[in-house]
This record gives sequence, C-alpha cells and structure tokens, in this order.
Amino acid sequence: MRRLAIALAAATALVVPALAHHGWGSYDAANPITLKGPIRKMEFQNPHVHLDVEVEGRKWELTLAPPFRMNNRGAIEALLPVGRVVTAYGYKSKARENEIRAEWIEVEGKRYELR
Amino acid sequence: MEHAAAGILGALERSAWGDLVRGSALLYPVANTLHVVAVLAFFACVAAMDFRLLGWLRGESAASVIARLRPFAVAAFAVILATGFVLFSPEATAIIGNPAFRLKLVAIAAALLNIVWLERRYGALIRGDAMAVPAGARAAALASLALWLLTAACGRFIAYL
Repeated sequence: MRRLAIALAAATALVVPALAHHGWGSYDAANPITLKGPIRKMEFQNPHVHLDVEVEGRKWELTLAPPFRMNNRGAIEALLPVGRVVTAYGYKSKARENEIRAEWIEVEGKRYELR
Repeated sequence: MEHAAAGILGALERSAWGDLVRGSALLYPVANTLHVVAVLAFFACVAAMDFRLLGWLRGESAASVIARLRPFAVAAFAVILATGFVLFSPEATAIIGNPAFRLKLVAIAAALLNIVWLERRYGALIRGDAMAVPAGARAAALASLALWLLTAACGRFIAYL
C-alpha cells in the first residue's frame, strides 16, 4: 500500500509540471479572423503544415492541415512559396500569441478548405 | 536529467529520420493508422485473456487461452511500439512535455508491471491448468483492462493538450 502511494506520487510529479507548460491545442472558435499577407516561412511537414505570414508588420503563424490532406485538396507545396500572398480564415490560439488554426486558405485566386 | 533527455530527443527530432517522417506525405498517416489498428488487435487479445481470468468466459483453462493469445498480443505490441516511434520522432521534444503523453507512459508502465506481478505471483498456478482463478489474479485482470483503456484515452488526448 505504501509502495502504491509512492508510485502515485511519482506519477503525479511527472505529469503535473507538464500541465503548466502546455496547452497549444485550444483555439477560440467563437471569434474567427481573416489574415492576408506574404509568406515569410514555409514548413510543409507532418504532423501539420506551418506558414509564417506578415500582416501589417506583424508575424502570424498559420497552422494548416497535414501534408497528406494538403496534397489531397490541391494545396500542394509548390503553391506556397515564400513571398506569395495568402489569405487565411481561422481561429486564434488561446495558448500562443499570433498563431491561428486555419479553416481555409486562399492562394492565387483559389480557396482550399482544410477542415 | 531533463536536460540530457531534451538533448537526446532534440537530436532525434533533428535527425535525418525526423526529417524523413516530417517530409513524407505517406509515412506519418500510415503509421498513425497502423498504430490505431494495432492497438485494437492488442486490446482484443488482452481483453480476451483478462475476461478469462475474470471468469467472464468459460470452457477453457486460463492457461490455454493465454498460451493461444499472448503471442498475438506481443506481436501487436511490437507494431504499436514501432509505429509509435514514427509518430514520436518528428516532434519528440514537444510530445515528451505533453501531460497526456506523460500519463500515457505512466499507465503503460503500470500495465506492464501488472503483467510482471501477475506472472510472478500466479503464473505457476495458472499454468497448472486450473479452471478457477484466484482473487488476486482477477484483480490484476481488472487492473489490466482499466490501465490499457486509460492508455488509449491518453493517446487520443495528446492532440488536445
């Protein structure tokens, strides 16, 4: 019984501190925003494609879909070079400044749904 | 200790292997899908063995059920570990800090220790082809079901924390 208590204490000590540092998965679905600007950085990789775009002098990070879905829906890597202007509609992260999860993006006059 | 772990995991994340998993459109989704399917296969075998220990299935000795299903459970577990490594590699430093993942590791450790304990305490008795199963072994079977289900729940919840 005592060993079980020690084990539970150890388990708590391992898990609880991580709670203080985490929380990237929450987005404010009630207040969507639209951003438009040139791509400054592009990471076409798993588990999620990321774009940095510059909007009115500020850097925003866009979290998009996994590469497999991006390709499946036509939003291929070649479509998103650095410098190209992209419009994104999505939800701001509650945990991180200037990050949104994009529901769709518009590039070169075409919209790509990502949900 | 945390820094050393961060070093190894950072190296894994930045390795050519990490690059491969991030960059390949197919590898990650296939590993993810196979991970879930292997979990189902694993849990089916584990649950059947646990149900027999709990007396919810009759007709065959516990030893016989375990002898038949354990190899499949072990094989499925190997697939889970391999595919899990694929999923872990591209963002190792982020995942190790995720509380759901940490609880998952604790649950897995507890579930494995539970198996070791069951084997050591009741292994000989069960292999003696007894039809009745002692109360301690039944408790371990219940703990097994609970811990593996907790592991699965934690795995799913990684994406939300």
